[in-house]
This record gives sequence, C-alpha cells and structure tokens, in this order.
Amino acid sequence: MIGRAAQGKFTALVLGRHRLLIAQSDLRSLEAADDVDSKAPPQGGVGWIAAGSDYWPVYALDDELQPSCAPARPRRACALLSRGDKLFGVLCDDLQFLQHAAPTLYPLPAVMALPQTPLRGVVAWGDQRAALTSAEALASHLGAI
Amino acid sequence: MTAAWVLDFGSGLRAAVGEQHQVHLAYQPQDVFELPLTPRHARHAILWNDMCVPVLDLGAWLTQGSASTEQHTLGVYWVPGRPGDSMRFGALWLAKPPQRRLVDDSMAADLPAMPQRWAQISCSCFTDAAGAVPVLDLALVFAEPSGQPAVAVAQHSVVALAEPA
Repeated sequence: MIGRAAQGKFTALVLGRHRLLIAQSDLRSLEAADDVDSKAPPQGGVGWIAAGSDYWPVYALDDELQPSCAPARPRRACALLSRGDKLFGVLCDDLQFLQHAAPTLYPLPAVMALPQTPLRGVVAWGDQRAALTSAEALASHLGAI
Repeated sequence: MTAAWVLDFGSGLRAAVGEQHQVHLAYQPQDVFELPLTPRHARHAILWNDMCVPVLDLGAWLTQGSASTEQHTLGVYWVPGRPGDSMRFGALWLAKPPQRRLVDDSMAADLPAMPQRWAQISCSCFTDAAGAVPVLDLALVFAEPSGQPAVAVAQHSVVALAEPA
C-alpha cells in the first residue's frame, strides 16, 4: 500500500543501530539512566525511576530490541513514556525529535509482522527510515506492569 | 509454452516465477534498510514506488540457516492477492540475475524432497538441464508469518504459472 503523510509529531528512541518511532504525545520526559534505581527491579525490568510522586518501572532492550534484564550495552538515557495514567521507562541512547520533518507512514508488510509485534508501521523522512510503535504496544512487548 | 523467470538464491537453491510477476531488478541496491523485531529472513525492506516492500532472504528461510552472503541482486515481484485488493509487491535477494526459460507441462516434475519448506511455498515444479525448479506461489511466500502454512499444496499445471491469479 502506498505511503501517506503521517499526522502529528514523532520522536525516535535511538537504540544502537535501530530507532523506534513513537508519537511525541506518548513521551512524558527524558531522564538520565543514572537516576534509575536498580534495587529490587520489577519482573522483566531493570529498575525504577521517580516521576511526580511515584516510582515507575524501567525496562531495557537488547541490540535486537528484545526485552532484556541485563542489556549488553549501557544506555545513558531513560525515556519516560505514558500509557493512560501509567508511566514506564525505556533505556535508550538518545532521543531524536522530528520537529521539522515531514514523515511518510507506510503499513508494515504482512510478512514482516511477527505475532504480537509492537511495530505499527514504517516511517520515512529524508533519507532516514524507522519502525513505528506506540507506548501501549511497547509496554505489551516489554511486559510492563 | 510459457515464460518463467528462474531465480537463483545461491547454495544450489533455485525457483521460478511467472514472467509477469517480475517488475524490477537492482544490482547491489543501496537503499535497503533493516527493521528490528521482524522474522530473521524478512529483516529488510525498500521504499519502491512509494510503497514499503519487504525484502526476503528465501535461501535462509528454506534452509533455516543464517543470512546468505552471496546474494547481491534484488528482484521485485508482483504478489497476487484477492480481487479488489490493492497491488502488492515483494522483493527477493538473489545470487544471480534471473534467467528466462520457456516451459510447458512436459517439463512437470515432483518438488525436491529437500529443503522440505519448498512444499509450503510452491504451487508446481518443472525440470530444466540443471534439475528441479519449484514454481513459487508468491502469495504464500509473502504471507504473514502467523498465516496457515500450505502444507498440502495442490500441484498445478506448470503452464499455470503464467496465468494471472
């Protein structure tokens, strides 16, 4: 199917050689990975981070973007994402804000869609390409509580 | 007689598609990109004619092995769908540029026993001087991974490979 202009603003979570695009409205804040408290991490997660008056679970992805309690690569940032009234953190290298880009959204080809895939499409802007996801889909992928 | 393109995936793996399915060839394409969280044989895609087209390593899928390193050519193929569906395309990594062959029913043959996965994606088979050549059902090749595998594939006429679905 043909691509169409993507509505809204997007942010790319930079994870090694991969980027995961989310709607900017799914992003609550960017925190330092050093602020993650790794004592008694949640199941499947790597720690907790404080935001507002609560602590929220933090998760990590390996280089293939599979959930990992012990990622081989240290990440320096923690993207705090919102799904409804709950938050969760994802360790990442950087965030890239697509403020002035005019991205085009393409459906994910059927043969590339694994069961329960968190990918929602493919986004292109300039000479860059990335997979599109959402905070909700990423939370399911991570098993976020 | 009807015309087919014979595709070489390397490691002795060959298959054919109807002549009308092949729509584009590229040698060492520079604009292939990788998507994470995708099947191992379907990690790459290209943007082609304003569509996101998956690029499959069919050799790796057939042998359940690692990604092939000898594939430098990329073929883009029209994938038949149901009536009313929008046009769909898929791409395959190839070890060599495709070869055009004229085939007829006198060349019909059984599918090779190995790799066993030929049976999941082939609709018929013929032989040429170099051996058996399964005919790909491209709708099965580019079906979503959770789709029902076509284990019991009907053997169609070899000539049927040139007929639009």
